[in-house]
Amino acid sequence: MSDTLLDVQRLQVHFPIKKGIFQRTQGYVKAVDDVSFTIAKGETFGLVGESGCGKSTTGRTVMNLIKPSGGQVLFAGENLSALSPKEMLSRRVDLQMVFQDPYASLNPRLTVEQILEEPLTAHQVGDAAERKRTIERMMEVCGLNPAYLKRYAHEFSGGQRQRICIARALILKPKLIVADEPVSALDVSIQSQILNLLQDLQQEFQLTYLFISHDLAVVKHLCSRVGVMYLGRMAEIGAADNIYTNPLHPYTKSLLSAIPTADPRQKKERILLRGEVPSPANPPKGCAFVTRCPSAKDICKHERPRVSKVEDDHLVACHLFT
Amino acid sequence: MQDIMLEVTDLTVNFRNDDTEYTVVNSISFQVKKGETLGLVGESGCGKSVTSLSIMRLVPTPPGRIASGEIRYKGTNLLSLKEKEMNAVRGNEISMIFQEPMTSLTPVFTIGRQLDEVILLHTDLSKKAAKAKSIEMLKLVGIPRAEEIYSSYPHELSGGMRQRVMIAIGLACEPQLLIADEPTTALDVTIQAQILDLMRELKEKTDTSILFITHDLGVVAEMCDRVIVMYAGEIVEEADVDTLFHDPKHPYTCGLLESIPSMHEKKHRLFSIGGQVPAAGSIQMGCRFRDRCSKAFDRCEKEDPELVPLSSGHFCRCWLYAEQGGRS
Repeated sequence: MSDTLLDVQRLQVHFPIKKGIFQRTQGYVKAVDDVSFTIAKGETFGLVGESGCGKSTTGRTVMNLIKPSGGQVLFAGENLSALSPKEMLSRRVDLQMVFQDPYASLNPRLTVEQILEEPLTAHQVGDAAERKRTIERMMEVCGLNPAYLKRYAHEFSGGQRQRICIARALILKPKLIVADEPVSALDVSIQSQILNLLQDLQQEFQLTYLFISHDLAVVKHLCSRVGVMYLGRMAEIGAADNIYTNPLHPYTKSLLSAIPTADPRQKKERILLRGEVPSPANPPKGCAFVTRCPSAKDICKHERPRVSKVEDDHLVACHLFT
Repeated sequence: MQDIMLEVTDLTVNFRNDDTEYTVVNSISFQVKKGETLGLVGESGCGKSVTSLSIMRLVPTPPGRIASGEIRYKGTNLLSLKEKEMNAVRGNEISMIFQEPMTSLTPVFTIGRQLDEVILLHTDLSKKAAKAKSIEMLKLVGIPRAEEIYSSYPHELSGGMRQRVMIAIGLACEPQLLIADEPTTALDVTIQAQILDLMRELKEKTDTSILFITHDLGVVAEMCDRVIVMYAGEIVEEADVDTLFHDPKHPYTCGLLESIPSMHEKKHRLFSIGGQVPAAGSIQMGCRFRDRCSKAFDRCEKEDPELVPLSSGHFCRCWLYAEQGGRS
């Protein structure tokens, strides 16, 4: 296997539920429950799932913005959660994030120049003149006119704002970018511009992406490997080709069949899921998907399936395959 | 010939900002036939939601204003009705489902009360009968434990459930026309599939006409019989769903279709339409798409293209096809 940049091992993130006047802990929301995956250098790994499945929490924990309750995140061989805040600060240069909502993730009081300069000053990169050159170059790379340096975020459209967010994440020349739904707030024609930009930048700067999205078509287009999450657990993980051509987990199957295709001639068999995702505070005892699974067996109710290998670079957590 | 439920003619809606008035919807005309699902697609800011709000006469005035045009529902011009008469149409004859199931229900009343309200307002049913009807509606839209949900508050329900409640409210009085403004945009794919399935099923049962507004071309392909593509406040193309997806003519429609990542073929790069939607009022003359169009030529800059028929039921607003339509 090629160089592993990120190694997430049995990651668990539990949020306490506090109740009553003494704020006693009543239980835990298991937002991420035993999730493992690795990302090789230069690869784009897609993390898909529906809202509340823990994909964003996983992304934030990779960034060490949330401390894991169990397991570890190894970035270039180093356990991030074991680092002191000061050490972590120096690692932040290599780890950057692009958020979903370009309207909420830019400070309205700052100009583009100030927004892009902040990471550079925080990490003491270069002198003022050098910084200005870096900023201008990064704006050009991201398809923004450097003449707009003094403008404020509200003067830009959604697509341009997302470009600013990407420029901000890139300006420190990171190794890994965690992109949390970077295109879901954008219109189709703008979405394709941003996806192309992300691909171009990956080539130019040898970036590794952790791409979090609920849009399976976008993930298929961009990612070489994919992990499908359900209720805080990894349901299926492997090479994108394997997962899209030969989905094994019943959840992946129904998810793929639920996507509307932009072709009225194509009538497909749809596996309609009944019901909704159970609460992560009170997940089913056995398999997380048992309440909605069309092919659930008795064992699924009692025993949690383990992630097992089915073929090369294709793992699935389902009793049907063990 | 099929009956025409809704006929919009030359609808123009303006919005005032400071001292300037911008045209947000520019002279659009279309029809919805009985039992038909008409899709209205376009990117944000193209005027699709304003169009739907105009039909319900819900455009906030000021700053908005329906400057001209007619909206005929079964022959009556809705724009000439008195507010009281309009109230009898809203929710009863025509009803609307909004995008945000999280914000379009009142948090302070129970689901049951919000459903009852619509039924009591538009029918002669007693309170008791209204409650029975409400519970029946909740069951119809596939809500489990309908009696229990009847007395719950919106915050106790998930997004998909709330959207089901919205649909139940929308359908409670058996409207003839349902306007669905991005009804599944805020939902997850598996829930979206459930809701779309439900809407199709209910449509078959009740033969309701649906005006389906969305930006998702996949949803359009699955739900609609006919499609209208809007760009910057104008209709740029109109066709039946099969023609639109397999033989699109307008460069904007072609570009939109090409820029969706496909589930079936792997493209190395996506096609993208350069630039962005022009701000309202910024283009005074010529085709509104010309700055982003790869096929634009002189004429596009100087003259406004008209919506011309290409074949039966297929219309396109583009100078490339002007001669074909028999008009220049």
